[in-house]
Amino acid sequence: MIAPVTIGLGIFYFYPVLKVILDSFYHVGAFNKRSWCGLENYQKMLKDPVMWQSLGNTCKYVLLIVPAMILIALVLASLLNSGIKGKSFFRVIYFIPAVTMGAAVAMVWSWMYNGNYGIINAILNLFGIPSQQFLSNPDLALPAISVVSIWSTAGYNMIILLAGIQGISRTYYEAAAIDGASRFRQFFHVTLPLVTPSLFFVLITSLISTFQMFDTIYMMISKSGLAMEATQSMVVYFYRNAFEYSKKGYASALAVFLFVIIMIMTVIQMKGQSKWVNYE
Amino acid sequence: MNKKRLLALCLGTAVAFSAISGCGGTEDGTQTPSNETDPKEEDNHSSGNTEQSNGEGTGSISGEVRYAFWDTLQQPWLEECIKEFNKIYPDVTIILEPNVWDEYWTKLEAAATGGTIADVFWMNGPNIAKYANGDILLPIEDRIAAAGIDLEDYPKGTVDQFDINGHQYAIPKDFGTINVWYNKTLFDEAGIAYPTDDWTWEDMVSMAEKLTKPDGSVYGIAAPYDGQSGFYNTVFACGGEIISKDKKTSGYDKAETQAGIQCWIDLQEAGLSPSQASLEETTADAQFLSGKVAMAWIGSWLLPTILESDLKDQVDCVEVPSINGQKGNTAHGLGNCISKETENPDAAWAWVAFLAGEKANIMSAEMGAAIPALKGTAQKWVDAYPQYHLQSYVTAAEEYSYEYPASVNTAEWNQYEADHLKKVFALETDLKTAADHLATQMNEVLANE
Repeated sequence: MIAPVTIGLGIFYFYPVLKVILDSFYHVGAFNKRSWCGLENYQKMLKDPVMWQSLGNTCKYVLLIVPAMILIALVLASLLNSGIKGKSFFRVIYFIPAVTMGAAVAMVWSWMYNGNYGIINAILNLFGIPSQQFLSNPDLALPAISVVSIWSTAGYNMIILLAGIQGISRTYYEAAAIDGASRFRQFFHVTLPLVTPSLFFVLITSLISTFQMFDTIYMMISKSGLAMEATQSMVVYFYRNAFEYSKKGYASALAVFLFVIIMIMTVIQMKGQSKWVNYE
Repeated sequence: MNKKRLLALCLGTAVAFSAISGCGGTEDGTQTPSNETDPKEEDNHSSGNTEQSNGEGTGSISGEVRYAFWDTLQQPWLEECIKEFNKIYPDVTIILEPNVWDEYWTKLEAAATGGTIADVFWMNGPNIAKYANGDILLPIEDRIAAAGIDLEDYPKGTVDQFDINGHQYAIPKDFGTINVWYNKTLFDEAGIAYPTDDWTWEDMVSMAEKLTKPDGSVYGIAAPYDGQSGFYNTVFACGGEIISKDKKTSGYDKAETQAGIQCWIDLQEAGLSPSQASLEETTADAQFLSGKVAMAWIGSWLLPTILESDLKDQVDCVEVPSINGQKGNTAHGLGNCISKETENPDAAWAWVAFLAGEKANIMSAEMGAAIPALKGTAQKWVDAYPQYHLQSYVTAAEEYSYEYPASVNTAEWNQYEADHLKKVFALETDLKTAADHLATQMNEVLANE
């Protein structure tokens, strides 16, 4: 019964995992020519300033995207849980980015950001602000990409939080209302503590997916462009090494390193969850 | 708890494959069925045409040939070629696999590694050595001789470029050179005379100064970071080199080379060009064809774009200006290569030979696809568009062209070029520091070849 799943996982997950770990000990050049090199890839990696910069960029993405995205998702979820008009309509609207192809999102946003003809600059110009090259100015590109990422993931996480909020028993609110708690206090003292299991899930998945940021950056930043160094994440740097510079062994070492980082992050969160997550 | 950990573990590892599986596919999905030929259309095609038919019975060759290329501007021409080709070889199906330039080499290499490479594909100077040494290509010198194709009929530089270790791997299909295009309307508005073929770099700068509007709506010239269409040409004119003749050392630490780059940086510093950031988001030719830039250095392969532009009646071209009395031009040709792994080498060769033949070259000229490589057909390309001074592209190739700089690992040092010099064009670092550093890195790459 479980054979199809196991075979699928085996071919597409476990075999590649082992292969990547194995490859990280080889020099793998163009057309898969390989030679054993022991730990050389790892030694080179730890001394590679570009690797450290992409790791730093990845951390910046996490710090910019995850808190803002969760805050927005939480606010949207609690708004759409209240009795406002047309909430089904708004739920759909906010969820649409989640069902839109990432590449399409990136293409449309890069037109909106375009320094010469983009709509965002046209609006800025109305207020007398000069045009900005959002996607090629190294200082602006990383925040610009973060905005796109927040925009495209907030809706999905909103739905998860909304489900969490709706799972909270009405009796808590009734009890709080009888005790005279305002809507505000109800949110902070009833909703927030009881939605923490969903928040925990959202936090872990969005941290992992932000650590793996790839498509938005790859689609929006021009290859070897001015802003590439300042925006490339670990995965983009991995991709460029593997498929553009034909250094698949070195790229494998990068992937293993990122894997270890994500694993450590996740273990820390798992350990920390008892401190703030309330299971009913 | 354990289940969750396992889940986290799986998600964590997903990073490696999301990228790998994302580029496993090599096909674009956009395939063009080629059997559209209506036999009735054949009536009016010239019967005097002698096709290079390989000297064999054409009916015996059959099969499918996948053809990968990167310039979708040439797709209409290729579709016409397939129609003509199928009149001679009705049993061969050509499947076009269009790509975009940015992805082409990444995909081609992945396909070659995975054993799914197209049967016939475009090849250029910077990459030929890598693929030939990687044992991906089918040597075709014997087939060329058997078919009676004379390589003397093609530009020597391009033929030699595809000759690696004594084997010929491709027949040149077209070549490209660089000209300066200018917007006549903007020149008229500024009240200055159009440039002529004997103009100098100083003329160009003073025209750019007059054409640049202070409010930033029009720039005199585009000075992007661009080798082939930009500074390579001025480096050659200044007597510099990108790579030494023996392909052992970098030329970037030479004063002449740096002088050939500095003249572009001066344009950026003087504010006569859109910034490097702007040109990265919207290319020089796109800004030129939207009237935002009055002059731009543009390769001959972009002629189809110009012909489709709204500004096509307002623009013309001229030879590149001379620097200290010298001109330089990067002449670069493409060729068609056959994969060593192809299942239908005869059909693949028939297609390559057809594309090298007179008919395909003349069609390329007349449709404006690219300057055809076969001797004598380039003139047809010039004559097909009398509204433009296209002769200047051919003059550039004949009189002052230089070989496109390349070695075995060209892609690798091209990357260092971009990393260092883009910052110079963005006026973030000074040229000498960047170019000297670049030369060191490039020399390391060349030493390992």
